[in-house]
Amino acid sequence: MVTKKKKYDAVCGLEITGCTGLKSVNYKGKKYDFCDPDCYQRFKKNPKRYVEGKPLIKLKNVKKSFMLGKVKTEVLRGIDFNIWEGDFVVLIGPSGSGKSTTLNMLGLLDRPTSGEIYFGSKNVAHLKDIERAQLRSKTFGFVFQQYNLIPWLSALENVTMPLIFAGKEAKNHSIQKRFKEIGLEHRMNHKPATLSGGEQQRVAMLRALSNRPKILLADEPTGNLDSKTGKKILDMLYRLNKKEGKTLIIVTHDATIAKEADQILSIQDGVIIRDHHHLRKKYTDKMINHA
Amino acid sequence: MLKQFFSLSFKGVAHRPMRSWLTILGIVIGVTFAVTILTLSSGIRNAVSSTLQMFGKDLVVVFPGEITNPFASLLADEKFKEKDLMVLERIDGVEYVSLELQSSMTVEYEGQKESALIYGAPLTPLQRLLEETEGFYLEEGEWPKGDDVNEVILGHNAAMNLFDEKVRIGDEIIVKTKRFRMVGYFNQIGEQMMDNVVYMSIDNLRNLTGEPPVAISANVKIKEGANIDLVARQIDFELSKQTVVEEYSVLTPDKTQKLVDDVLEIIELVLVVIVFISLIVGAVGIMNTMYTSVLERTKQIGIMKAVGASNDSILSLFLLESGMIGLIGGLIGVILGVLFAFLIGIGAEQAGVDGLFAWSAIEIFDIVAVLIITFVVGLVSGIMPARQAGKMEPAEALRYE
Repeated sequence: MVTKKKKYDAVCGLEITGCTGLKSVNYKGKKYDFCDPDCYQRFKKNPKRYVEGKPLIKLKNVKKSFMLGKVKTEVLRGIDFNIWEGDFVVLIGPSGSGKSTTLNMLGLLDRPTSGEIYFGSKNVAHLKDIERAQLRSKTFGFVFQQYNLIPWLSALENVTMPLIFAGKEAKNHSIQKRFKEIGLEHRMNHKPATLSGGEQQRVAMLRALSNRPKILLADEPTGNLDSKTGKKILDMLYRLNKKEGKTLIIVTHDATIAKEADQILSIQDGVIIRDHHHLRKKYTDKMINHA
Repeated sequence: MLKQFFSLSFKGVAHRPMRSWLTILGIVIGVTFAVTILTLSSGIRNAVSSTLQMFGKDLVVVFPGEITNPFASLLADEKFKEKDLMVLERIDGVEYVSLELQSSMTVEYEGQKESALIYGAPLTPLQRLLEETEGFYLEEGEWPKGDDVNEVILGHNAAMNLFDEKVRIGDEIIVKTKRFRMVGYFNQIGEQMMDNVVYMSIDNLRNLTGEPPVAISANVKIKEGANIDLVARQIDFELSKQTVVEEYSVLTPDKTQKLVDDVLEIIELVLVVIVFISLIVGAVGIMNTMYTSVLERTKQIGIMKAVGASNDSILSLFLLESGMIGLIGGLIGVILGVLFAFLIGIGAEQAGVDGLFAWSAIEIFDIVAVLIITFVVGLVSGIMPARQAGKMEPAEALRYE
């Protein structure tokens, strides 16, 4: 049996082998095929980026299964997508769809059962623990729904902790300045339990930024906050994406967040059911209803 | 960097103060015990040695019974015939023989009755023995005028503390049934066995006990320059001729020292084993605490890994933590151990045993060694739990509630 080599599109990394409504774009004398209309649109708008650049992160047929007791549960059943540097990406989907697991894969917090995860041109899916830790330390900043501050350390110590693990000197002066920027200068030496949810999440944001990561990963960052506080946190995240060019990947249910995104990955039952780019409002609404 | 790791670990320990302290207590007990013994052992050795030295380096002691148990002679019924012991004086190299007989009797003074040890010996050799080799002198009074005179000398404590009233020179005391005049008392020697005693001539004591001319033991004074071992062998030979006491011992200073050393060594060995066991118990405590800690902080381990901690960082944090528990336990144990040794020293001094505790007995090297050992015990106990913590998959750890 002869197996044809699988083909993927240049933007989203989606499989185009056997696609019926194939759309093509010619750029600099070369033909680029797309199956997904959004990916096609996106390429058409800025082909240079996608031809000359490389996706920052690329997931290829990533699968993950857990053993729940004696039952094998497949959480991710073959996920493909690309994330381009500087984009704001939203992972959306119902509970248990696998979006948090996907985020964990992206952030090297978990290993796929099979498949490949490229960071730049390097497959990082099966790196050694120490290399994964170094990559996490240098490249990723995490923000969690539960804030996840270390309860026995002060806000300041929580923020300096990543620096310690990265073997860097913690300069109190600059950290103090950053606390001032988020209006928590006076709460620096407080333990997390004495801070409000919003304050804790702002501290968690500072912690995520400690090592100046390229990529920010946020799992329902506003899930435990009231809408006003949530908006503040989101504004901080947007600013980091738009002004500082950090790649921002958020797992959320929140429609307002999805509306701002460059790319929405809609996950259901462990597969990407749609990979949307160039979103307009109607798409978002449709997507969210779908989710 | 290391400082910051220490700080992080320390906060981990301080996070659960009660549990940490209880774990530390496990180590403290073992170490306190060890340090107390370590500090006192040289004191005990010195005290025993100085007691032995009081017997004199040129003194050979003859007593019934086996050499391994010199105290059994006090209980033994067997006694030497006086003449069998006095022949020893004829041996070349023997200066004199001081016989001794002991008995516990009631002593009455001004109507108050107390029990005391009565020590009987021929007075002339006794005086030489006590004054020349054992550091006795009469603090007040004089020696009895003769072996047949009803006069006694008291040990220092017997004169001062045995009765409510201090016994005055010239006063009468009643020993068992007979009246004696107290003619003098000795300086304080620092040994209960010597200070709390009523000294009289052996003839007087035999009269009280109704015994024939016998003696329980003999102190044989060796001439200066004589070969003690050689003389001891001759003593042995002479004694082998007598038939009354079949089993007897000839104890030379070297043998005594060795005997004491052997006993001390056995005691120390037993104590070392106990200390070792208690350290193991402490170590198991640390391990248990660390396992609980790892389990309890699973989520935080996940967080730390998410923000860039490597397996080794987590391992180090937990190892430092367990090492710190060991070290703190060691430090407190050392302080308490020295304190206990000090208190025991004071107690012993009041009981008449001097020099058990000495600051000079505390060696910095020993203390440092103890601290290193406790730190290492802590580290080793932490290895398995810390490895478990280090190996956790971050995503799995983060899911833990």
